[in-house]
Amino acid sequence: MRRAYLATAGVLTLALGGLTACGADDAAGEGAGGGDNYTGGSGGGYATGTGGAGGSTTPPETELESSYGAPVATGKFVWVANPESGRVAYINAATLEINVLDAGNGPQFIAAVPDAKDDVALVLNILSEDATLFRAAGSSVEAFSYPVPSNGNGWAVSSDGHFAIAWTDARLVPNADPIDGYQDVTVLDLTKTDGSYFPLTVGYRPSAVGFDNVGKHAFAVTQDGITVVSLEGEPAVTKNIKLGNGLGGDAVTQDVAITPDGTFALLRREGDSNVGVYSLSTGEHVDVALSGPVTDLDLSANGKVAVCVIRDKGEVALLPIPDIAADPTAFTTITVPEVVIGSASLPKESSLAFLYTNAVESSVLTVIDANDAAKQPSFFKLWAPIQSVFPTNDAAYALVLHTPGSGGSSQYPSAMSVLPVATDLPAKLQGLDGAVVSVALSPSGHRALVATGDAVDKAYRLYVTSMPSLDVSKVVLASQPISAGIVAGADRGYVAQKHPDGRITFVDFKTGEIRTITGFELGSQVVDGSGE
Amino acid sequence: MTMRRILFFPFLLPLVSGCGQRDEAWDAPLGGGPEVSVHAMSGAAALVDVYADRVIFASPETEDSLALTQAPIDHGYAASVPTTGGDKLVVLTRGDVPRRRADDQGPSLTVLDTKVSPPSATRYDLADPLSGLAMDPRSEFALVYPSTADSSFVQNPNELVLIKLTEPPSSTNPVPTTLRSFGGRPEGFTFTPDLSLPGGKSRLLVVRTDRDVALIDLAAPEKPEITVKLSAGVDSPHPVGVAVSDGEADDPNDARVAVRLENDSSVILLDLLPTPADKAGTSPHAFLPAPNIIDVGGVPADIAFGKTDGGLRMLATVPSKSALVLVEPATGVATSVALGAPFDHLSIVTEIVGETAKGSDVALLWSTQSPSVAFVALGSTVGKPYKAVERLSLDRPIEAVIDVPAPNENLKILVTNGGTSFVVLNLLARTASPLNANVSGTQVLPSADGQRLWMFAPGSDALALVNVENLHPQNLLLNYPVTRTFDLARRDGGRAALALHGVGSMAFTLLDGKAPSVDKSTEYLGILLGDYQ
Repeated sequence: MRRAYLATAGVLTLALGGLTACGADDAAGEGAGGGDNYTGGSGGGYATGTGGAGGSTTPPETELESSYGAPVATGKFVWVANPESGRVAYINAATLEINVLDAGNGPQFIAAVPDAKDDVALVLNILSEDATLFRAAGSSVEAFSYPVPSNGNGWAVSSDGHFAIAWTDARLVPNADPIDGYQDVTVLDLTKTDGSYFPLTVGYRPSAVGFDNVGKHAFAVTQDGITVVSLEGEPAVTKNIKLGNGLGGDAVTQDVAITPDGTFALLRREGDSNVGVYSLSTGEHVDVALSGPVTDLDLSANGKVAVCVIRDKGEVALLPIPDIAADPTAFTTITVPEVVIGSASLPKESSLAFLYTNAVESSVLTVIDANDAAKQPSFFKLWAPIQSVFPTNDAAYALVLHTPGSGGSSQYPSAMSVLPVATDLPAKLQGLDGAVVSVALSPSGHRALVATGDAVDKAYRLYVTSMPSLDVSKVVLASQPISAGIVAGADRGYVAQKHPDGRITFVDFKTGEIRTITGFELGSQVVDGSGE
Repeated sequence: MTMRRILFFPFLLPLVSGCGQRDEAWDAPLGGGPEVSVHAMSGAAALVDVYADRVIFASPETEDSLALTQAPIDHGYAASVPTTGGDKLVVLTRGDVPRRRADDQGPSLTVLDTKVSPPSATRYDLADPLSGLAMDPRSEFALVYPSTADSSFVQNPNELVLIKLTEPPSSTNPVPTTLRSFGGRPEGFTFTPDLSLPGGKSRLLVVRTDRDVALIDLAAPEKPEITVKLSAGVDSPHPVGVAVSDGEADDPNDARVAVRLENDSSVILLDLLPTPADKAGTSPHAFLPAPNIIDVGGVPADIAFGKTDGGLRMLATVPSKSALVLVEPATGVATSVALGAPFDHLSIVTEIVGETAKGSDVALLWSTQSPSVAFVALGSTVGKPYKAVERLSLDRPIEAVIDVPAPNENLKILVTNGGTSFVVLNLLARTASPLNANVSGTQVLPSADGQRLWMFAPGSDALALVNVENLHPQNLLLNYPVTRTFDLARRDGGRAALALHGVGSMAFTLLDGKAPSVDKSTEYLGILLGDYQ
């Protein structure tokens, strides 16, 4: 399940003059050197979603995978912005060397920009209403400035790093006035360094913005529907595709998945047995009638299959794309007996789908093959209620977060299991000292990070899990973690923490060495006499 | 009665009063002025006679014989410091200021070697008349710097001159340096021990200014120094203390310098790491400091590094929390140990008391605010914190702590109540034995062989010898007020006590160091008026 639930995804905030960065959905980590593991997997395209309750009295499924925040990392750098100082620090995760760059006024929302050879980051300067693009090549860094008249609180960046869109997620705006539609967005062509920008207007209150994987269109999921932006030639809004009954509203933005090629959008609505399939080129749509209310909808990594979970029926419907658009009955159904399933989590590079529920206490994880409906589901009995599931990219392992259960007998506020899915070995259950704040998995699946502890539960810890040994080491953190991430190019993980001067703890995956850096800008205050 | 009196020149000069703690007692000028400074050398008392541009060395030869020799020094005495071994005296002179004639003396640093008689002199010419002198504890380097007393028409407060005392004067010795300045001026100097650094073993000179820290590589002092500004903002924190750790002896990448800041709960930790590859081509250094901010939860009064069973920790006494805070340098994770009293001074005493069963250090804490000392065994950083915090209650807060040399280095002299109450603290037995004096301002001077304590008070004729084994005091009454006391090795192999009387032109009373008797003492009068060859 590749969620881009922008209410939480990619939010990284350091208090008191630290940094605030919103690497919104794709921008924060997608293709950015391994930082994109917070969602616990990936389907095709991008989506919004909260999971649902179906039509029963059982509580709705809670979408948690994307609520842990995304680190802002590129190939070997971690980028952090300081709105107070107007500077952006970038840390070489291999050497832990820190450098500081001047951005605009109030740099706050930073995103990694995919690039084949350089480390590139884009920061939105909210006070000067512009953006600064940093391109690090070797030891030199170039900076380019772009006006962003729309301002915003997040970025969407195309997978090839060609375009970026600054936009505002109203859900992140405290007490947003209902008259404020946050419809202004700014499109930047990052291949041009002349400062050109393209202000556009999308529908009312966008909840997700993303691109197709061919770089021809961008899409904004709004309460007016899906606003389609053509990127061929000068960027322009070309159409708006209404969703649902056409009246729009928040309900149509709750769970929308768009295929990676930008051909179709799929809509799930709370309590509705129908899944809407919309052609983004023609605006035509069909409703796929399923056996009961759909509690979760996710796209497979290649965008060829939509996985729809019908909790009340214990069924999973697999919708083939694009065939389902031509024949709304052309789906297959897998029945999962005796196990409650309500949510799905799909890895990036596997056809497996992980099914579970967190609406009721259930400790059984179900795994199906979304490409092979005939294959019998696999069941993994775990030893605590499942809260969320984060499969590795290849689905060889899954990190499962647990609640302690309602029995009240556990001393742990939370727990996790590391499940060797491919080898079908017993999962390792590990009690956690605090509430989980962030999860990150390395792209190769050899390490997983879980950060715990919040403002209430101050057990600030980082749990480093090694695969295949399933060894878990616990690191005490100096302050409250904000988000964890992976810098694949340096084979290190990190966890950013709250501190007025910025704090980040790195874990060397080769040596296990832990190193915490506090005071990002202080690192640039060393004068060694070079050139004197 | 066999007391003898030897009169050199019986002219009397005004009595000069004494001063404070041990190091000052040994080294500070008499009467607060530069006229006469005294120092304890290994076998002599040294009197720097500023008016006569000379140093008088008083060397006990036998129980009743004192050899007096002198060595000339240049004009314009500024400061003097004995080397650590006590066999050399380093004298800084400003020369004739201003220099009007060709034969006027320039500024210099002179090293007087008392191992030969008369003392030999090695003179290092200096470019500028500066008055500040700091000595490397290992006596390999002397540092000359502008003091606040210097008042030339134009001054650069960031000029430093490093003198390699192990090398003769040459075109490359002394080494002048002008610190790269961001508006600050030097305030303190720390010579580190050997550190395993990227690029090899080296020692550093850590210079604290009022707003940043500079690191000078003593293996190559001609290289540009490394400056670490302590803030990226406008307000500059004021560094007030430094602690140094080499980390693991064979690891070149784990040496650290901790910098304590004034009225700031943050400590800046400088990890001395290899120069990043992208800077290796341009940086003159094989290492660069990586600053880290560590919050210890309150303003630390003292910092040090200590070894625990969980590895190295930076220790900070935080009086406002009545706690000792231990910080893991690599992660910045702080653990607070409740002490129950606001301790403000800290020292590692492991070499004296021995490490814990787990190889951890033991810290001694004392307080100027609370009447107690504490021992903290840094043995349990995991699980239950610091089971071994042992407090000893005293009658009064501690004003100063005086070390006793080996073999009784397990004893510490705690000074309280304005110099009328003392406590002999035994670090091994964890006992605190009181010693009282009836004259305020009484000073304690441990003998160099660690066997005795000499106690005297400025303006008082009384002198007391305390045997450290049984703390039995032997009170003596001399004929003149005692200004200083020296416990010196005699040339015949015995020990001598030499009481300096700051009366008139100075006088000494020579006694046997181990069995002093006024009856068998010898007085030497008119010291400053003698002409010793």
